[in-house]
Amino acid sequence: MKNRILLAILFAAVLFTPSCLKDQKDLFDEPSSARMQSYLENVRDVLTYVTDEGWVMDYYPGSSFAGISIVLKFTEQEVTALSEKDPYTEETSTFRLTTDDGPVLSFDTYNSIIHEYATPSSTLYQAKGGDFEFDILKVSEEEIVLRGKRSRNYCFLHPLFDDAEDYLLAVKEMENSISVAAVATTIDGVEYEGFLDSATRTFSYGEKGTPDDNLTNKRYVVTPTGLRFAGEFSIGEESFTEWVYDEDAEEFIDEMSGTVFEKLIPPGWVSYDDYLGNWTLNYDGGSFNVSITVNEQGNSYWLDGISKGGFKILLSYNGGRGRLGWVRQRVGASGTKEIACCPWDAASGYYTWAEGVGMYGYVEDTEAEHLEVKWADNGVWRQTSDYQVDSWLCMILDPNNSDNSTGATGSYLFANNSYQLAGPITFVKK
Amino acid sequence: MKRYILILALAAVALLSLSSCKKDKLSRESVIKDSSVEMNDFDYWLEENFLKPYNIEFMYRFSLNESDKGYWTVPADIDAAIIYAHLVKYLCVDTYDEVAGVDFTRAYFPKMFFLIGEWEYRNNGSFILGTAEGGKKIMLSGVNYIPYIFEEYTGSELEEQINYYYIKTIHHEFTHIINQTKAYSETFQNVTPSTYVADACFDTDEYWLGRGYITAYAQSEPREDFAELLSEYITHSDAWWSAQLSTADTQTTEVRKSNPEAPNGADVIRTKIDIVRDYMKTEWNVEIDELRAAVNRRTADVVAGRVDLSDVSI
Repeated sequence: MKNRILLAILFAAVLFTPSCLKDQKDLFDEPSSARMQSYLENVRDVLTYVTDEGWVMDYYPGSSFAGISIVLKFTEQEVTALSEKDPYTEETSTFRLTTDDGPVLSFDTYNSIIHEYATPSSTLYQAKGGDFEFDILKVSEEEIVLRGKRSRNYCFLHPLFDDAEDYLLAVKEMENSISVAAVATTIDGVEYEGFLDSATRTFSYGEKGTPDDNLTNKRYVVTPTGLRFAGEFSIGEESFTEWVYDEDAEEFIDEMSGTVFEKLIPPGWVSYDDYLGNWTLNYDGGSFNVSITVNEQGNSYWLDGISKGGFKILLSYNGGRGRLGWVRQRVGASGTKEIACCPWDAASGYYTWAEGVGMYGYVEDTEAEHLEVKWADNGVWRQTSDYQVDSWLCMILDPNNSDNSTGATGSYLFANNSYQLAGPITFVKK
Repeated sequence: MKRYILILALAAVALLSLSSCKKDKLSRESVIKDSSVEMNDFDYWLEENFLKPYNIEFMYRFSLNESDKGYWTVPADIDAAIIYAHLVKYLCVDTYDEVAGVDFTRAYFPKMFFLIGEWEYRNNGSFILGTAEGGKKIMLSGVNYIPYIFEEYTGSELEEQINYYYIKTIHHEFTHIINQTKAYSETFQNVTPSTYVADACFDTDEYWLGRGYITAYAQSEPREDFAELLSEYITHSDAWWSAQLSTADTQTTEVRKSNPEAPNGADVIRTKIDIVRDYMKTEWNVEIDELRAAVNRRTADVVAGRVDLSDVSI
């Protein structure tokens, strides 16, 4: 009987035990919403009161597009922007500091300067990879670090203490004065080379002799004194964020470490202007005449004469290497279908419509009377397959049909009267 | 000895249960914080013209949660949004007030408009003008082109641009909303049951009128056919409608080359619009010809510059 009573008491003890309240001590004095509001108020104060001249935003859109400097002047509710593309024109819109899994800076009404790279079109339905809503990662009076909510690209804001227009004009002046597209340096006895692609404002670097596919890329913007990179990066044991350009010596200097990056002219380097003009395009089975004309001076060209019906191909210019680039691109539309110039591995018969896949054009003998451009796979397709580009197809791409096996017809044929342009492809200058 | 154990056990249980008594104080301050966004003149105008009388929220500032993340887009320009707000008010809200009564508008007109600056582009270059969600929200795209349209076009061209890209979209999406509230007769989808082509609607030949569809998009499915018929009908004149029927009649000859049994396209459209007319009258007590007259008169006012589209004074 007593055992039963004891068991009943034990049962009661177990029953009451969960009612013991453990009071977790608060780690913070305020609830999270109050702390978030306080944080955002601090962000607003930093944006509006640290400087009267505004903040320079190092804005990085999609990797195919160059980073750009935009000056942003904040008031309590509005932001006025002007960019290095046109330092004389400013535009005002609103912004909002809000929360979404963390603090967010949103430019929530349209501003053609801020939203340029986020604006889509029928040919660029994903816009230019730009953002207008940013996670706020770091805030101080010296630097604000943001991350695009869609692209995940980092953007950096630095306080400006000079006149915005003067700053942006100085940026343009510096860009025009930089005559170095490839650099070399030695760190701890190791020789390094790097290549500046002004079209995408990307610095590609590695130990001397590193193949193109294995180079490391770092994006940058131009400042009145030189280059500022998208965050710190290392070469060997040295770390870099900002370089000063010495126009007389034609070299970049990292002021913190004193490391000098001397001008390098890589073998096979051809200037932008030397690619302009009339060429013979040779392919497997024949040749026809084409011409290369200016699209964006110093950065890209139009390849004209490539097609039967008049469409042109956009070629890029890599100033660091002095080379051409030719990637998959849309050339027209048929109803809801896209007509695209697609990279093709003629030997295997496979082709792709993936963005970024294509070839680069290079010159081996820069002293030749008639320059000859040879084309080679740019390595992008090989990252996900065993195929490599040596030829091109003009295809009708059906978004509702993954087969996509229809060759273009009529005016969308190449100048050889076929939707196929089989390699090896070379251009010989006339 | 066993008695002491019993007493001790009882005491322990009593202590355990006593320790659970604790009162946790709640803060008097709410954890919900006010927005730090201050209202501007346009916000006050929207409050007076949409929110207070109709409980309609007109969102012109971008909100990630309201947007369709499947598309790349940008916010609306504030000046363009002001023009659009006036167009929605004068050409849609006020029109339904006039024809169907303010109670109809308050009860059924969508409760939220969300504007975005660009079109929602698909990867094939086509784009979306607007969408309706759950009978409550209409998303309207391409807002930033409105000032350009007013600068570039006049007269009937301006009227066509406003209707095609903006106002017809609202009537089209509103048709979906009222259809979701009260279904239309199944007779409608049996008029041309075998010629709907879903996503291939823009890939057909150009003889959709001959097949009995008022637009290419109407060929996609019955509910779009219904919405296209009503929105096209009320945003165009009687002369335009007659011209469409005449073309439909002519195109029937072409359609019958491949399908000799095809009915006359004009007759098919007449049959369908009669069902639409009957639905609107029976279910909503709205005469679509009255609605069309009001829309056309009001659109003419806008095109003639008789409506101030930038005034946000209250």
